[in-house]
Amino acid sequence: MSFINYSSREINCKIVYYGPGLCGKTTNLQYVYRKTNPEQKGKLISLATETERTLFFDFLPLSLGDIRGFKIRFHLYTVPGQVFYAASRKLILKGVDGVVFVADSQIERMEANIESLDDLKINLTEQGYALEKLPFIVQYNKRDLPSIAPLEEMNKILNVNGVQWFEAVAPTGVGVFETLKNVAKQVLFELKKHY
Amino acid sequence: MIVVCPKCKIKLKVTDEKLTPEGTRFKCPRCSAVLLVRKPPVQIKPLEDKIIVAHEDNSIIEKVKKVLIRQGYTVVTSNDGVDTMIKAVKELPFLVILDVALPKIYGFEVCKRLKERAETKEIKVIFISSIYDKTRYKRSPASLYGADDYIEEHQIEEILSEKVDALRGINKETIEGPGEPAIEKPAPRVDAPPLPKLEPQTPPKVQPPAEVKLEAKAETDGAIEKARRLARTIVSDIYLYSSAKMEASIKNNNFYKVFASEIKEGQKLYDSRIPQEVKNKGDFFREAIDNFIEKKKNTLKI
Repeated sequence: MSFINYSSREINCKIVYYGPGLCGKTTNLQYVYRKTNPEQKGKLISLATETERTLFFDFLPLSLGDIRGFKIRFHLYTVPGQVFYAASRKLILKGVDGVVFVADSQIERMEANIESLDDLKINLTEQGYALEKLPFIVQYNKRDLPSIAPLEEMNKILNVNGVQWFEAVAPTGVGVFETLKNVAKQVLFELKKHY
Repeated sequence: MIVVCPKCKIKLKVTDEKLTPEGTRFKCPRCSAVLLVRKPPVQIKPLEDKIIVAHEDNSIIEKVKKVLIRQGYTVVTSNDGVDTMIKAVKELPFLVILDVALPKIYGFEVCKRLKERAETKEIKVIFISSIYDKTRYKRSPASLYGADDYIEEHQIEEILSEKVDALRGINKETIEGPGEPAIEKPAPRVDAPPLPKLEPQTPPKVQPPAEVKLEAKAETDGAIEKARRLARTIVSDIYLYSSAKMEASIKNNNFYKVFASEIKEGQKLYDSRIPQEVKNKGDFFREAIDNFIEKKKNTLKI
């Protein structure tokens, strides 16, 4: 759930990039960070242990305007993708306002995508959320690689509820901001319902 | 049947009656190594006039069925992956035409399992996909989850019969439509000589023939497939993050020691996600690790 900072007159929202190991969550976040105006963003923080890594930074997009005089600050997080760090992922999902599921389009990662999506649903349910009720976007990343599954097939398997989805090539930025903008839009829409 | 002791290379004659599919243990008379000899699976030739069509959408099934019946095939239909597995094992068709995203067990998983089982590995598989030009498959069948070919929904009436013929034909060069890139034929698999599988055994700790026992019951169970998928994902994730280290440990035969902490973490997750009743049916986590090691050994030619 978003929290309000009355002294700075900001509403803080948390967007989590979820997905299997090495699917491009970090690359997405790094691209957004690189392309964001320095005055608008905080530090890029890496919460890394020996084997897992979580990236985090917050930024204040000027273009989004405000809600009742409060500016919107987005906090973007990635989760450690490796399947057995479920506990860390659960922790990061606490207080989430929107989720981007980054799927790896390579055929050999299809099982990992399915597992990761299951894991997301389980972790959300355990915290009292339902994926269907959250702002949620699917991003099919690595579309430039040769051995990729077709979009129809990926949608059928990973996007049964037919949420908004984007193709992406994160290192070059293709689809990165479209994904972020649309999840942000959905988060704002939800916020406006409450404030 | 003649078997070769892997340790001292002596040839031993074993009477077929003594062998079971689960394996029978023998002691090598020369080096005293304990060998587990398995009865080679019976090769059943799939029925050439039978085809299974599996799709969630009955209108697609009807479309495919029409083409195949016209060609004189007997068509068996199915709407989900579990049913397809049961029918494939029971009916042994020569071909299964599959939707990739079948309910219960995904089509690509059905394909993988058919190709893994001794009695069904000869069955050909064609995937059906509803692909438009923009996003159509541009890959060889070798990378289609092990399938032999694919067809797009809008092509069923025009080229399905051609593709089915191509799979029945001998050494047909291409099975693609006109103007499309030629399909690279996967290199013919050189099967090992028909010697039964031998495994040196260390007497006190004999592994139960888990695979054989599990396969018999598990094939149709979605919950078991889920457990297997989670286990496979855990193992492939370990590899993804430490491929060089993992390959070295497989070469040095100390994978379980080197990756003890990752295995422990993986086991913890596996135990928390998989219900006890599924775990009672077999150690799928261990099975996934062993299968992965086995496959890697083959690729690395160890």
